[in-house]
Amino acid sequence: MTQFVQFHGRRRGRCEGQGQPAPGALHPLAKAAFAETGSPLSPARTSGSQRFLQGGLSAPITVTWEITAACNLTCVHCLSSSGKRRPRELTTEHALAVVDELAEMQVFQIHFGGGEPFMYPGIWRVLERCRERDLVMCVSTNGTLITPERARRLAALEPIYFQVSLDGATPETNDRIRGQDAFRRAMRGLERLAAEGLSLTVNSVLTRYSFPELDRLYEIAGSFGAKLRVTRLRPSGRGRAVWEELHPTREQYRSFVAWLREHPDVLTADSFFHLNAFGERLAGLDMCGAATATCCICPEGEVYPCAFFQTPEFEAGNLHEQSFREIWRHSPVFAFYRQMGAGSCGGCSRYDLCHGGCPATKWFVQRSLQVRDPECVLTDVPHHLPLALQEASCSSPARSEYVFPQQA
Amino acid sequence: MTMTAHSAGYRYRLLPEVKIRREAFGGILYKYGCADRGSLSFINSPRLIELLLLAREQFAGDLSAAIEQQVSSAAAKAHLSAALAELLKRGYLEAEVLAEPVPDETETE
Repeated sequence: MTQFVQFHGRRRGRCEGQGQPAPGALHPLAKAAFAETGSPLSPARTSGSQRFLQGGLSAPITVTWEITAACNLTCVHCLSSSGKRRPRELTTEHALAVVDELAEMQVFQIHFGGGEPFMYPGIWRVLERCRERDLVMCVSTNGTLITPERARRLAALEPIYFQVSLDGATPETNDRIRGQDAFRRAMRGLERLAAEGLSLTVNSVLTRYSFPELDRLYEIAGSFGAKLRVTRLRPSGRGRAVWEELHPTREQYRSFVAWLREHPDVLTADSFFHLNAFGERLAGLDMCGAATATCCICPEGEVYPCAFFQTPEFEAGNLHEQSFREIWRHSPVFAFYRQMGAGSCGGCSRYDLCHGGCPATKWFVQRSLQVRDPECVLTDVPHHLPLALQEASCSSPARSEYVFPQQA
Repeated sequence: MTMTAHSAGYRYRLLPEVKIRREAFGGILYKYGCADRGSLSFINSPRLIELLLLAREQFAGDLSAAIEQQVSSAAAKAHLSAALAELLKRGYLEAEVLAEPVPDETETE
Protein backbone atom coordinates (compact mmCIF):
# COMPACT_ATOMS: atom_id res chain seq x y z
CA MET A 1 0.00 0.00 0.00
CA THR A 2 1.31 3.36 -0.91
CA GLN A 3 2.14 5.42 2.09
CA PHE A 4 2.75 9.11 2.00
CA VAL A 5 4.64 10.78 4.74
CA GLN A 6 5.02 14.36 5.69
CA PHE A 7 8.60 15.47 5.81
CA HIS A 8 9.50 16.90 9.17
CA GLY A 9 13.07 17.93 8.46
CA ARG A 10 16.21 16.56 9.96
CA ARG A 11 17.42 16.94 13.46
CA ARG A 12 20.88 18.11 14.23
CA GLY A 13 23.32 15.27 14.55
CA ARG A 14 20.98 12.66 13.15
CA CYS A 15 21.95 12.94 9.53
CA GLU A 16 23.12 9.57 8.39
CA GLY A 17 26.55 9.68 6.87
CA GLN A 18 27.05 13.38 7.45
CA GLY A 19 29.42 12.96 10.38
CA GLN A 20 29.73 15.25 13.33
CA PRO A 21 31.44 18.59 13.18
CA ALA A 22 34.89 18.64 14.64
CA PRO A 23 35.19 22.18 15.89
CA GLY A 24 38.92 21.90 16.46
CA ALA A 25 39.48 21.40 12.75
CA LEU A 26 37.82 24.63 11.78
CA HIS A 27 39.75 27.76 11.03
CA PRO A 28 39.34 30.04 14.07
CA LEU A 29 37.73 32.78 12.00
CA ALA A 30 35.22 30.34 10.52
CA LYS A 31 34.51 28.87 13.94
CA ALA A 32 33.80 32.30 15.39
CA ALA A 33 31.73 33.32 12.39
CA PHE A 34 29.53 30.22 12.56
CA ALA A 35 29.11 30.60 16.32
CA GLU A 36 27.89 34.17 15.91
CA THR A 37 24.99 33.03 13.76
CA GLY A 38 23.39 31.30 16.73
CA SER A 39 21.59 27.99 16.93
CA PRO A 40 20.21 26.33 13.84
CA LEU A 41 16.52 26.71 13.29
CA SER A 42 14.46 23.93 14.76
CA PRO A 43 12.84 21.67 12.18
CA ALA A 44 9.48 23.18 13.06
CA ARG A 45 10.72 26.62 12.03
CA THR A 46 12.30 25.67 8.74
CA SER A 47 10.41 26.47 5.60
CA GLY A 48 10.59 26.23 1.84
CA SER A 49 13.64 24.53 0.41
CA GLN A 50 15.34 24.75 3.79
CA ARG A 51 13.29 21.85 5.10
CA PHE A 52 15.06 19.56 2.69
CA LEU A 53 18.48 21.13 2.52
CA GLN A 54 19.25 21.96 6.11
CA GLY A 55 20.77 18.61 6.91
CA GLY A 56 22.64 18.28 3.63
CA LEU A 57 21.91 15.83 0.85
CA SER A 58 23.68 12.55 0.22
CA ALA A 59 25.51 14.27 -2.63
CA PRO A 60 25.39 17.67 -4.28
CA ILE A 61 22.85 18.31 -6.99
CA THR A 62 25.35 20.37 -8.94
CA VAL A 63 29.08 20.69 -8.52
CA THR A 64 30.76 23.81 -9.80
CA TRP A 65 34.21 22.86 -10.94
CA GLU A 66 36.70 25.59 -11.66
CA ILE A 67 38.98 23.27 -13.49
CA THR A 68 41.78 25.74 -14.19
CA ALA A 69 42.71 29.24 -13.15
CA ALA A 70 44.21 29.87 -16.56
CA CYS A 71 42.30 32.47 -18.50
CA ASN A 72 43.01 34.60 -21.52
CA LEU A 73 40.85 37.43 -20.12
CA THR A 74 41.26 39.38 -16.89
CA CYS A 75 37.72 40.41 -16.00
CA VAL A 76 37.66 43.03 -13.28
CA HIS A 77 35.03 41.13 -11.26
CA CYS A 78 36.44 37.60 -11.63
CA LEU A 79 35.23 35.64 -8.61
CA SER A 80 38.32 33.43 -8.63
CA SER A 81 40.94 36.04 -9.59
CA SER A 82 41.85 33.91 -12.58
CA GLY A 83 44.63 34.57 -15.03
CA LYS A 84 47.58 32.17 -14.76
CA ARG A 85 47.49 28.44 -14.35
CA ARG A 86 48.25 27.43 -10.76
CA PRO A 87 51.05 25.04 -9.79
CA ARG A 88 49.00 22.27 -8.11
CA GLU A 89 46.12 22.10 -10.55
CA LEU A 90 44.65 18.60 -10.79
CA THR A 91 46.15 16.40 -13.47
CA THR A 92 43.84 15.03 -16.12
CA GLU A 93 44.04 11.56 -14.59
CA HIS A 94 43.07 12.91 -11.20
CA ALA A 95 40.25 14.92 -12.73
CA LEU A 96 38.92 11.80 -14.48
CA ALA A 97 38.91 9.96 -11.16
CA VAL A 98 36.95 12.82 -9.63
CA VAL A 99 34.39 12.60 -12.44
CA ASP A 100 34.00 8.89 -11.69
CA GLU A 101 33.52 9.57 -8.01
CA LEU A 102 30.91 12.26 -8.65
CA ALA A 103 29.05 9.88 -10.95
CA GLU A 104 29.10 7.15 -8.32
CA MET A 105 27.67 9.58 -5.79
CA GLN A 106 24.87 10.37 -8.23
CA VAL A 107 25.71 14.02 -8.60
CA PHE A 108 23.38 15.22 -11.33
CA GLN A 109 25.34 17.96 -12.99
CA ILE A 110 28.85 19.36 -13.25
CA HIS A 111 29.20 22.98 -14.11
CA PHE A 112 32.66 23.64 -15.49
CA GLY A 113 34.15 27.07 -15.16
CA GLY A 114 37.47 28.58 -14.31
CA GLY A 115 39.41 30.42 -15.48
CA GLU A 116 38.56 29.51 -18.99
CA PRO A 117 37.80 25.77 -19.15
CA PHE A 118 39.14 25.47 -22.67
CA MET A 119 42.58 26.41 -21.38
CA TYR A 120 42.68 23.21 -19.28
CA PRO A 121 44.80 20.70 -21.20
CA GLY A 122 42.60 17.72 -20.34
CA ILE A 123 39.23 19.37 -20.87
CA TRP A 124 38.18 17.14 -23.76
CA ARG A 125 38.91 13.94 -21.91
CA VAL A 126 37.09 15.24 -18.84
CA LEU A 127 34.02 16.23 -20.87
CA GLU A 128 34.03 12.91 -22.69
CA ARG A 129 34.22 11.06 -19.38
CA CYS A 130 31.25 13.04 -18.09
CA ARG A 131 29.35 12.04 -21.20
CA GLU A 132 30.24 8.38 -20.66
CA ARG A 133 29.10 8.60 -17.04
CA ASP A 134 25.80 10.29 -17.94
CA LEU A 135 26.59 13.44 -16.00
CA VAL A 136 24.89 16.56 -17.25
CA MET A 137 27.55 19.01 -18.34
CA CYS A 138 27.40 22.74 -18.39
CA VAL A 139 30.40 24.78 -19.49
CA SER A 140 30.79 28.41 -18.58
CA THR A 141 33.11 30.00 -21.12
CA ASN A 142 34.15 33.43 -22.25
CA GLY A 143 33.58 32.16 -25.79
CA THR A 144 36.76 33.59 -27.19
CA LEU A 145 38.47 30.25 -27.82
CA ILE A 146 35.58 28.59 -29.62
CA THR A 147 36.72 27.73 -33.11
CA PRO A 148 34.41 26.15 -35.70
CA GLU A 149 36.28 22.87 -35.21
CA ARG A 150 35.84 22.97 -31.45
CA ALA A 151 32.17 23.76 -31.80
CA ARG A 152 31.72 20.71 -34.03
CA ARG A 153 33.57 18.53 -31.55
CA LEU A 154 31.45 19.85 -28.71
CA ALA A 155 28.27 19.09 -30.62
CA ALA A 156 29.25 15.43 -30.52
CA LEU A 157 29.12 15.56 -26.72
CA GLU A 158 25.46 16.55 -26.44
CA PRO A 159 23.64 16.90 -24.18
CA ILE A 160 25.99 19.64 -23.10
CA TYR A 161 25.05 23.18 -22.20
CA PHE A 162 27.03 26.35 -22.63
CA GLN A 163 27.03 29.64 -20.87
CA VAL A 164 28.84 32.38 -22.75
CA SER A 165 29.57 35.46 -20.70
CA LEU A 166 28.54 38.92 -21.80
CA ASP A 167 28.46 41.58 -19.13
CA GLY A 168 26.94 44.23 -21.29
CA ALA A 169 25.03 44.53 -24.53
CA THR A 170 27.58 46.86 -26.06
CA PRO A 171 31.35 46.65 -26.45
CA GLU A 172 31.67 49.73 -24.25
CA THR A 173 29.86 48.21 -21.28
CA ASN A 174 31.09 44.65 -21.70
CA ASP A 175 34.73 45.42 -22.42
CA ARG A 176 34.93 47.77 -19.47
CA ILE A 177 34.41 44.63 -17.36
CA ARG A 178 35.88 41.87 -19.48
CA GLY A 179 38.67 43.58 -21.38
CA GLN A 180 39.40 44.93 -24.82
CA ASP A 181 37.71 43.18 -27.73
CA ALA A 182 36.03 40.66 -25.43
CA PHE A 183 32.56 41.57 -26.72
CA ARG A 184 33.38 40.92 -30.38
CA ARG A 185 35.16 37.66 -29.60
CA ALA A 186 32.37 36.40 -27.35
CA MET A 187 29.80 37.18 -30.04
CA ARG A 188 31.88 35.20 -32.52
CA GLY A 189 31.98 32.27 -30.09
CA LEU A 190 28.23 32.45 -29.68
CA GLU A 191 27.80 32.38 -33.45
CA ARG A 192 29.97 29.31 -33.76
CA LEU A 193 28.24 27.40 -30.97
CA ALA A 194 24.82 28.38 -32.29
CA ALA A 195 25.81 27.25 -35.77
CA GLU A 196 26.21 23.74 -34.38
CA GLY A 197 22.82 23.90 -32.70
CA LEU A 198 24.28 23.67 -29.21
CA SER A 199 22.19 24.61 -26.18
CA LEU A 200 23.25 28.08 -25.12
CA THR A 201 22.67 30.73 -22.58
CA VAL A 202 24.13 34.18 -22.55
CA ASN A 203 25.35 34.66 -19.01
CA SER A 204 25.42 38.19 -17.70
CA VAL A 205 26.44 39.42 -14.27
CA LEU A 206 24.05 42.17 -13.23
CA THR A 207 25.85 45.43 -12.54
CA ARG A 208 24.62 48.97 -12.28
CA TYR A 209 26.02 49.48 -15.80
CA SER A 210 24.51 46.39 -17.41
CA PHE A 211 21.11 46.85 -15.80
CA PRO A 212 19.98 49.47 -18.37
CA GLU A 213 20.98 47.05 -21.13
CA LEU A 214 18.92 44.06 -20.02
CA ASP A 215 16.42 44.39 -22.86
CA ARG A 216 19.22 44.48 -25.41
CA LEU A 217 20.97 41.52 -23.77
CA TYR A 218 17.70 39.64 -23.97
CA GLU A 219 17.53 40.39 -27.70
CA ILE A 220 21.13 39.34 -28.26
CA ALA A 221 20.51 36.02 -26.54
CA GLY A 222 17.37 35.50 -28.59
CA SER A 223 19.25 36.20 -31.80
CA PHE A 224 21.39 33.12 -31.11
CA GLY A 225 18.45 31.00 -30.10
CA ALA A 226 19.78 31.25 -26.55
CA LYS A 227 18.24 32.18 -23.26
CA LEU A 228 19.52 34.98 -21.13
CA ARG A 229 20.85 34.04 -17.71
CA VAL A 230 21.39 36.92 -15.33
CA THR A 231 23.42 36.32 -12.19
CA ARG A 232 24.28 38.28 -9.10
CA LEU A 233 27.59 40.10 -8.71
CA ARG A 234 29.47 38.91 -5.64
CA PRO A 235 32.38 40.61 -3.89
CA SER A 236 34.56 37.51 -4.35
CA GLY A 237 38.04 37.39 -5.87
CA ARG A 238 38.71 40.52 -7.88
CA GLY A 239 35.04 41.35 -7.41
CA ARG A 240 35.91 42.70 -3.99
CA ALA A 241 37.78 45.61 -5.50
CA VAL A 242 34.93 46.67 -7.78
CA TRP A 243 31.96 45.72 -5.64
CA GLU A 244 31.13 49.23 -4.47
CA GLU A 245 31.33 50.61 -7.97
CA LEU A 246 29.49 47.87 -9.79
CA HIS A 247 26.81 46.35 -7.59
CA PRO A 248 23.29 47.42 -8.56
CA THR A 249 21.37 49.98 -6.59
CA ARG A 250 18.33 49.05 -4.53
CA GLU A 251 16.06 50.81 -7.01
CA GLN A 252 17.65 48.91 -9.88
CA TYR A 253 16.99 45.69 -8.01
CA ARG A 254 13.37 46.66 -7.49
CA SER A 255 13.02 47.32 -11.22
CA PHE A 256 14.87 44.12 -11.98
CA VAL A 257 12.30 42.05 -10.09
CA ALA A 258 9.58 43.66 -12.18
CA TRP A 259 11.61 43.01 -15.33
CA LEU A 260 12.00 39.34 -14.40
CA ARG A 261 8.25 39.11 -13.97
CA GLU A 262 7.85 40.33 -17.54
CA HIS A 263 10.53 37.93 -18.81
CA PRO A 264 9.75 34.60 -17.17
CA ASP A 265 12.06 32.74 -19.54
CA VAL A 266 15.13 34.52 -18.19
CA LEU A 267 17.27 32.30 -15.98
CA THR A 268 18.83 33.53 -12.77
CA ALA A 269 20.78 30.55 -11.39
CA ASP A 270 18.68 31.05 -8.25
CA SER A 271 21.17 33.75 -7.34
CA PHE A 272 18.77 36.58 -6.51
CA PHE A 273 16.86 34.93 -3.68
CA HIS A 274 17.81 37.86 -1.44
CA LEU A 275 15.39 39.90 -3.56
CA ASN A 276 12.51 37.70 -2.41
CA ALA A 277 12.39 40.03 0.58
CA PHE A 278 10.71 42.60 -1.66
CA GLY A 279 7.74 40.29 -1.14
CA GLU A 280 7.58 38.33 -4.36
CA ARG A 281 9.22 34.97 -4.39
CA LEU A 282 11.33 34.39 -7.50
CA ALA A 283 11.53 31.02 -9.21
CA GLY A 284 13.96 28.47 -7.85
CA LEU A 285 15.60 27.93 -4.51
CA ASP A 286 14.77 30.47 -1.84
CA MET A 287 18.01 30.09 0.05
CA CYS A 288 21.72 29.61 -0.32
CA GLY A 289 22.38 26.13 -1.65
CA ALA A 290 26.06 26.14 -0.72
CA ALA A 291 27.27 22.99 1.06
CA THR A 292 23.80 21.49 0.74
CA ALA A 293 22.75 21.43 -2.91
CA THR A 294 26.07 22.47 -4.38
CA CYS A 295 29.72 23.10 -3.70
CA CYS A 296 32.79 24.16 -5.63
CA ILE A 297 35.94 22.34 -6.63
CA CYS A 298 38.77 24.74 -7.36
CA PRO A 299 41.76 24.26 -9.68
CA GLU A 300 44.20 23.01 -7.06
CA GLY A 301 41.70 20.59 -5.57
CA GLU A 302 40.33 22.89 -2.89
CA VAL A 303 36.67 22.32 -2.10
CA TYR A 304 34.56 25.25 -0.92
CA PRO A 305 30.90 25.68 -0.03
CA CYS A 306 30.37 27.53 -3.30
CA ALA A 307 32.24 29.27 -6.09
CA PHE A 308 31.78 32.63 -4.39
CA PHE A 309 33.20 31.49 -1.08
CA GLN A 310 36.79 30.80 -2.07
CA THR A 311 38.74 31.82 0.97
CA PRO A 312 41.08 29.72 3.12
CA GLU A 313 38.96 30.11 6.26
CA PHE A 314 36.13 28.21 4.59
CA GLU A 315 38.09 25.57 2.69
CA ALA A 316 36.28 22.31 3.36
CA GLY A 317 39.08 20.05 2.18
CA ASN A 318 41.41 19.31 -0.68
CA LEU A 319 41.21 16.56 -3.28
CA HIS A 320 44.98 16.09 -3.11
CA GLU A 321 44.42 14.80 0.42
CA GLN A 322 40.88 13.43 0.63
CA SER A 323 38.20 12.02 -1.62
CA PHE A 324 35.31 14.21 -2.61
CA ARG A 325 32.95 11.89 -0.77
CA GLU A 326 34.91 12.27 2.47
CA ILE A 327 34.89 16.03 2.18
CA TRP A 328 31.18 16.21 1.37
CA ARG A 329 30.20 13.97 4.23
CA HIS A 330 32.71 14.80 6.94
CA SER A 331 34.08 18.27 6.44
CA PRO A 332 33.57 20.40 9.58
CA VAL A 333 33.13 23.46 7.37
CA PHE A 334 30.24 21.81 5.56
CA ALA A 335 28.75 20.42 8.75
CA PHE A 336 28.71 23.84 10.40
CA TYR A 337 27.59 25.57 7.23
CA ARG A 338 24.53 23.31 7.06
CA GLN A 339 23.63 24.17 10.61
CA MET A 340 24.17 27.90 10.39
CA GLY A 341 21.75 30.00 12.40
CA ALA A 342 19.79 32.95 11.14
CA GLY A 343 22.00 35.51 12.87
CA SER A 344 20.56 39.00 12.98
CA CYS A 345 17.94 38.00 10.40
CA GLY A 346 16.27 35.64 12.85
CA GLY A 347 13.60 38.11 13.89
CA CYS A 348 12.80 39.37 10.43
CA SER A 349 9.27 38.80 9.21
CA ARG A 350 10.61 38.06 5.74
CA TYR A 351 13.27 35.57 6.74
CA ASP A 352 11.26 32.72 5.28
CA LEU A 353 11.47 34.37 1.88
CA CYS A 354 15.22 34.91 1.60
CA HIS A 355 16.75 32.94 4.50
CA GLY A 356 19.18 35.74 5.16
CA GLY A 357 20.70 36.10 1.71
CA CYS A 358 24.18 35.19 0.53
CA PRO A 359 26.71 34.19 3.23
CA ALA A 360 29.68 34.76 0.93
CA THR A 361 28.59 38.33 0.24
CA LYS A 362 28.19 38.92 3.98
CA TRP A 363 31.63 37.55 4.66
CA PHE A 364 33.51 39.45 2.01
CA VAL A 365 31.81 42.75 2.75
CA GLN A 366 31.56 42.60 6.54
CA ARG A 367 33.67 39.64 7.65
CA SER A 368 30.66 38.20 9.41
CA LEU A 369 28.00 35.59 8.73
CA GLN A 370 25.51 36.85 11.27
CA VAL A 371 24.82 40.21 9.63
CA ARG A 372 22.20 40.95 7.00
CA ASP A 373 23.08 40.50 3.38
CA PRO A 374 24.77 43.79 2.41
CA GLU A 375 22.22 44.07 -0.38
CA CYS A 376 19.27 43.30 1.86
CA VAL A 377 16.39 45.18 0.30
CA LEU A 378 14.85 45.82 3.72
CA THR A 379 17.70 47.86 5.09
CA ASP A 380 15.43 50.82 5.76
CA VAL A 381 12.44 48.80 6.89
CA PRO A 382 11.96 47.91 10.55
CA HIS A 383 11.92 44.25 11.47
CA HIS A 384 8.60 42.61 12.22
CA LEU A 385 6.89 44.71 9.57
CA PRO A 386 3.81 42.76 8.53
CA LEU A 387 3.96 41.72 4.92
CA ALA A 388 0.63 41.27 3.26
CA LEU A 389 2.09 39.61 0.20
CA GLN A 390 4.01 37.00 2.06
CA GLU A 391 1.34 34.34 2.19
CA ALA A 392 0.52 34.70 -1.48
CA SER A 393 4.17 34.56 -2.42
CA CYS A 394 4.84 31.44 -0.43
CA SER A 395 2.12 29.61 -2.25
CA SER A 396 3.60 30.54 -5.61
CA PRO A 397 3.81 27.66 -8.08
CA ALA A 398 7.40 28.68 -8.63
CA ARG A 399 8.50 26.87 -5.49
CA SER A 400 10.88 24.08 -6.23
CA GLU A 401 9.86 21.58 -3.63
CA TYR A 402 6.74 19.53 -3.53
CA VAL A 403 5.35 18.24 -0.31
CA PHE A 404 2.83 15.54 -0.61
CA PRO A 405 -0.25 15.74 1.54
CA GLN A 406 -0.81 13.31 4.34
CA GLN A 407 -2.81 10.36 3.27
CA ALA A 408 -6.29 10.52 4.66
CA MET B 1 0.43 -8.66 -19.21
CA THR B 2 -2.74 -7.00 -18.07
CA MET B 3 -3.16 -3.51 -19.44
CA THR B 4 -5.36 -1.72 -17.00
CA ALA B 5 -6.31 1.89 -17.31
CA HIS B 6 -5.97 3.90 -14.11
CA SER B 7 -5.54 7.45 -12.90
CA ALA B 8 -8.48 8.76 -14.84
CA GLY B 9 -7.55 7.18 -18.13
CA TYR B 10 -3.87 8.12 -18.45
CA ARG B 11 -0.87 5.96 -18.91
CA TYR B 12 2.18 7.64 -17.37
CA ARG B 13 5.72 7.31 -18.60
CA LEU B 14 8.80 8.68 -16.93
CA LEU B 15 10.82 10.86 -19.30
CA PRO B 16 14.25 9.35 -19.98
CA GLU B 17 16.13 12.55 -19.12
CA VAL B 18 14.73 12.66 -15.61
CA LYS B 19 17.21 11.66 -12.95
CA ILE B 20 16.13 10.20 -9.62
CA ARG B 21 18.08 9.97 -6.40
CA ARG B 22 17.08 8.56 -3.05
CA GLU B 23 17.48 10.81 -0.02
CA ALA B 24 16.62 10.30 3.64
CA PHE B 25 13.40 12.29 3.28
CA GLY B 26 12.39 10.49 0.07
CA GLY B 27 14.28 11.63 -2.96
CA ILE B 28 15.01 14.17 -5.65
CA LEU B 29 13.79 14.40 -9.21
CA TYR B 30 15.98 16.37 -11.53
CA LYS B 31 15.59 17.48 -15.08
CA TYR B 32 17.89 20.24 -15.98
CA GLY B 33 19.60 22.07 -18.73
CA CYS B 34 21.25 25.43 -18.59
CA ALA B 35 19.30 26.44 -21.68
CA ASP B 36 16.08 25.46 -20.02
CA ARG B 37 14.52 26.40 -16.72
CA GLY B 38 14.98 22.84 -15.71
CA SER B 39 13.23 21.18 -12.86
CA LEU B 40 14.26 20.09 -9.43
CA SER B 41 11.80 18.66 -6.97
CA PHE B 42 12.21 17.34 -3.49
CA ILE B 43 9.80 14.47 -3.00
CA ASN B 44 8.96 13.60 0.56
CA SER B 45 7.55 10.19 -0.26
CA PRO B 46 10.07 7.34 -0.28
CA ARG B 47 7.32 5.12 -1.63
CA LEU B 48 6.83 7.28 -4.70
CA ILE B 49 10.57 7.45 -5.27
CA GLU B 50 10.76 3.66 -5.16
CA LEU B 51 7.92 3.42 -7.65
CA LEU B 52 9.69 5.80 -10.01
CA LEU B 53 12.93 3.84 -9.69
CA LEU B 54 11.09 0.60 -10.27
CA ALA B 55 9.49 2.06 -13.38
CA ARG B 56 12.89 3.17 -14.64
CA GLU B 57 14.75 -0.04 -13.85
CA GLN B 58 12.22 -2.75 -14.57
CA PHE B 59 9.55 -1.26 -16.79
CA ALA B 60 11.53 0.94 -19.18
CA GLY B 61 9.96 4.03 -17.67
CA ASP B 62 6.38 2.78 -17.77
CA LEU B 63 5.17 4.15 -14.45
CA SER B 64 1.68 2.84 -14.89
CA ALA B 65 3.00 -0.69 -15.24
CA ALA B 66 5.05 -0.28 -12.06
CA ILE B 67 1.99 0.97 -10.21
CA GLU B 68 -0.07 -1.93 -11.46
CA GLN B 69 2.49 -4.32 -10.04
CA GLN B 70 3.06 -2.56 -6.72
CA VAL B 71 -0.15 -0.82 -5.77
CA SER B 72 -3.25 -2.84 -5.28
CA SER B 73 -5.75 -0.76 -3.38
CA ALA B 74 -8.05 1.59 -5.23
CA ALA B 75 -7.65 4.18 -2.47
CA ALA B 76 -3.88 4.19 -2.81
CA LYS B 77 -4.15 4.47 -6.58
CA ALA B 78 -6.52 7.38 -6.23
CA HIS B 79 -4.11 9.06 -3.87
CA LEU B 80 -1.27 8.52 -6.31
CA SER B 81 -3.18 10.10 -9.15
CA ALA B 82 -2.81 13.57 -7.60
CA ALA B 83 0.92 13.06 -7.26
CA LEU B 84 1.20 11.86 -10.84
CA ALA B 85 -0.73 14.85 -12.10
CA GLU B 86 1.70 17.11 -10.27
CA LEU B 87 4.72 15.34 -11.68
CA LEU B 88 3.18 15.59 -15.14
CA LYS B 89 2.65 19.31 -14.67
CA ARG B 90 6.27 19.72 -13.63
CA GLY B 91 7.52 18.00 -16.75
CA TYR B 92 8.86 14.74 -15.38
CA LEU B 93 6.27 12.48 -16.99
CA GLU B 94 4.43 12.17 -20.22
CA ALA B 95 0.88 10.90 -20.29
CA GLU B 96 -0.86 8.96 -22.94
CA VAL B 97 -4.61 9.21 -22.93
CA LEU B 98 -6.06 5.76 -22.97
CA ALA B 99 -8.96 4.92 -25.19
CA GLU B 100 -12.10 3.67 -23.51
CA PRO B 101 -11.33 0.04 -22.80
CA VAL B 102 -13.34 -2.44 -24.77
CA PRO B 103 -14.06 -5.38 -22.46
CA ASP B 104 -12.63 -8.11 -24.66
CA GLU B 105 -9.55 -6.08 -25.61
CA THR B 106 -8.21 -5.35 -22.13
CA GLU B 107 -6.21 -8.53 -21.99
CA THR B 108 -3.14 -8.57 -24.20
CA GLU B 109 0.03 -10.56 -24.32
